[in-house]
Amino acid sequence: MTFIKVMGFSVVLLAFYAVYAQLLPQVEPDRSAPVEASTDGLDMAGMIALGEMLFHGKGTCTLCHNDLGRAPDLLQTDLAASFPERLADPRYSGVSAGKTGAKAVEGYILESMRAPSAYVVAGFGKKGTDDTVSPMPVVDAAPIGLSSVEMNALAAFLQDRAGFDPTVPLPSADDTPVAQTPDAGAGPAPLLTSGQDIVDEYGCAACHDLNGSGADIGPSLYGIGKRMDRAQLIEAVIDPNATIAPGFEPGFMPSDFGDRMRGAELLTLAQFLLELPDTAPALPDPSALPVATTVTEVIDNYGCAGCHDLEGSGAEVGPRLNGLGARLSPDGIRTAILDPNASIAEGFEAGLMPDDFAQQMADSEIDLIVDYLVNLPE
Amino acid sequence: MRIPVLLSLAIAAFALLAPDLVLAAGEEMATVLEGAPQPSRLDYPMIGGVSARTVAWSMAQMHLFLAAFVLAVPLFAIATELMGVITRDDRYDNMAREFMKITMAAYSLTALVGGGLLLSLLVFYPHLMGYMVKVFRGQMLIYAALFGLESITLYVYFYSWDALRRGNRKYYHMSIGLMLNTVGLTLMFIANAWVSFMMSPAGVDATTGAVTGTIWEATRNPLWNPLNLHRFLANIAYGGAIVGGYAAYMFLAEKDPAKKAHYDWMGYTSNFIAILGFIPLPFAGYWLMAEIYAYSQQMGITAMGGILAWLFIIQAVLIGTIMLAANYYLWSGLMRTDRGAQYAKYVKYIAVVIVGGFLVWVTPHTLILTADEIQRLGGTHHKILGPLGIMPAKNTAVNLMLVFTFMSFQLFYRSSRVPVVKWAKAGNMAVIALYAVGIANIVGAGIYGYITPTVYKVGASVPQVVSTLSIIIFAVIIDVFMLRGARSEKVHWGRMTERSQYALFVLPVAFTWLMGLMGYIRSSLRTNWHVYTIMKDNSPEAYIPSIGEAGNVITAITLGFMAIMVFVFWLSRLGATKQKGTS
Amino acid sequence: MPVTKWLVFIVALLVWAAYFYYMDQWIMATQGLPVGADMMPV
Repeated sequence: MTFIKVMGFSVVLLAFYAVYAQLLPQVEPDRSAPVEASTDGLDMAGMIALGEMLFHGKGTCTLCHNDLGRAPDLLQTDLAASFPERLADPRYSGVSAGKTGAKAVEGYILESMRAPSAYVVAGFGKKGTDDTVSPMPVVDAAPIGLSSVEMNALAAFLQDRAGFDPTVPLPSADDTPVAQTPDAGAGPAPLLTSGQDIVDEYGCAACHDLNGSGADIGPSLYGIGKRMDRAQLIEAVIDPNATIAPGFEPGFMPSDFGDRMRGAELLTLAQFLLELPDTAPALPDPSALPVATTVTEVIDNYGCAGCHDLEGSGAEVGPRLNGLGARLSPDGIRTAILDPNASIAEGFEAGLMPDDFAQQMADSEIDLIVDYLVNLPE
Repeated sequence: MRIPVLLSLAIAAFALLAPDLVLAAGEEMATVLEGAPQPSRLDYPMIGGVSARTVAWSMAQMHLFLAAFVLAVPLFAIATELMGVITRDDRYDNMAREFMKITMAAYSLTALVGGGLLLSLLVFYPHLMGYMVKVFRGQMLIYAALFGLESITLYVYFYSWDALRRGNRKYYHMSIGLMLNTVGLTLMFIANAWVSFMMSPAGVDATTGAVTGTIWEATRNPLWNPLNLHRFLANIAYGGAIVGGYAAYMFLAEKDPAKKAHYDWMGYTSNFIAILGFIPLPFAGYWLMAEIYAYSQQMGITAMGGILAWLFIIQAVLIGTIMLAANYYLWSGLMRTDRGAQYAKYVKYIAVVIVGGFLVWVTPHTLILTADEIQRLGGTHHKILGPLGIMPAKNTAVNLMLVFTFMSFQLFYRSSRVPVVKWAKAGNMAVIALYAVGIANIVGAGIYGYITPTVYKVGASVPQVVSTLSIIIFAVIIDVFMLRGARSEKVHWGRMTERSQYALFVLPVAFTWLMGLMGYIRSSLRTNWHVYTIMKDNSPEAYIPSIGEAGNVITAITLGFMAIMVFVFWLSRLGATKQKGTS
Repeated sequence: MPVTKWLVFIVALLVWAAYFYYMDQWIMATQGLPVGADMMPV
């Protein structure tokens, strides 16, 4: 009897701990397989974007180069002023000592990554070494292990921030590809390298006429190259409410693409959109489209995650779909897809979701997505 | 007696039969130029749908729980035995023997699970194990040999207890115990070397991982000694907690008042040992953390600032429950003396502070909310409760909890002693004033930290800690002088409620879970490396699991361990039960 | 006796208050943080 009582007591106490662990913010790890992206043909703008991505990601620079004072905050300091100061500092005796200009800055940045102790910014040295030894790890060795192309990209990014034209060599086909290994912790998703993938991932076609979606919540993207240049297009993606095309309303397009997309992705997307034809290709016969056989294909083809928060997409034009099964019956979900305006969730507007999915989707596709949503956990 | 000896022989035989091990021990030169293997994702054996990591994790953690217990108990068993010799009180000697009795039951399980761990590592991570064997070569054979010696000394120590109990013979017996502890600690230090090598490799080439140094260089890696100390102290606290759980179980199951008194006393002593080991642990932990930072700043930041930072909130909850339980046990202990009852009226105020502090401690700063909830709450932080989530509030809470826990202890300590010095009343007033001013200072520094910028918040936490320590130190000093020659009160061992025994049982459960959690953190620090910066973990499960996922695994392992332990307690009671009519 | 008792209490209060006050000051000063600096609400 004592045995049962004591065990029961242990189980209750352990259940409390287990439940508490579930209540904390869950950082979902990146379980994807490692991918490699070739850097062949990357232009300088691409290098800068890649550098920015590395700065925030694989390079782990922001662990210390942030506003907490572990290392100089490279994103806040005025690099245009500080680089010349450092090259002229009598304490600096490295490769670029006493020199000026963009090339000297490149040499200085690359040196600081390979031999961080060559010059230590006053106040940031290891304790007790009087600013002669840097606490910074060598960047081209494990655990960071950046390749020379990656370090060049970082140098380009920093040169660009300081107002110099980057002087680093562009990568060639012989260079090792940029390896994107899944982050052990909360890692960003793998870098997307094709415009079509980016459009699918961020669900552009759900609101814009693209890929024959015919959607009209936002302006058609065909022929956008005629109406906007590269810079305007990028601005329209990251700050959509700055300029609103006539006939459309502000506030619908998510304004966080600037945070969600990587620099390289944004550039790839801009290129892809600029190259789109002027008019939508003749709508393909729906029956000619291959019918999706997996839920992932269905979600990609119809762009659900573009408006709905689905598996972390974060979109909030429509209600969140994770946990929908708890709120709606399977039939309710089916109705909500086929006749979206029949009932509108509190806090959202009617008329935004396309009401022709009944024509667009095959029955098997509808069954797939309904079944998926019913079981989708919170 | 036979099973573990056979097991250790089997392991030694395995070591001899496995050519890798023997070759590595014999031909050191052959391995020098070869680097660490770099298996690709496909090189990791997949066996059905089994999660390799979960199997290895469970086995390693279970082995650690059992081993920590089995190594720790002989340490304080011999200390208790010495107490018995010094005080000439047989109660200590009997208790030391009873400590060892529980260890004996757990020992063969330790060996069994250890074999399971070795097997799961060899099956699922053959490349890593191959590399580790190359680095540590003959040390693995020494480990196997020491394990055999551990078995022998353990059995001789326990079974010779009554034969070598009196006179000079007692010293022979204690020498065996000393040898047992030496061997046990050596075993732990060797195993720690392997684990710390995986975190901070030494004695190998920094880029390829080729073995360049001696075994000693690999053993004496930067994190070895901090880990040794941390585990040594934690083992004592853990062993004390488990033995306390045993005493609680026996107290609950026993009907005979004399035996109940014995187990009450045993529970009290074990609890004392557990807390004694527990108090210096944060300092050892601090050293370990500081060495981790010194070794690799990145690793340190992963622990304290990255995704693992939330785990320290769970740690706070666990320590909070441990403190609540320890306090409750102390308050219940007041009932053992007639004098203690008069202190009981203060308990409710202490309880309010401890529970309040605990609640502040578990209040998370950032809540995970849906958009709808944020709208209803009017922000991501609750208007009234939000401020309780930030650091100054938590620091104030934890320091107040510590001060009031100490107050509980002081009341308990005083409950069996009546001061006889003339200035007792004045001394009490000085102690009350000390508490009043110290607590005011802690609260004041908390408010100050709350309304000042971040640097001051961090700065203001130091006076809080020093205030807590000051209160404890000065109160102890005053008590030492005040209780000189104090009249002692009769202690009625066994006059305890059943509920208090459950409070005692919270300790092993919470300690086990806490150890599981810290193991998860320590392993996660390597991120996606088998051997940090040397050998990459390319297995599909190289990622750090989310807190919830890890919590589930830890809970499952802890539950398994507690089930085994309670079963062992039940068995040892069964062994002492005689059927009516037999003798 | 009660008078002496309370007298001791008040003296002890003052002594402890002085102790904690100077300890606070000293600790903040060693960290380079003057006590009573701008209390900007954050």
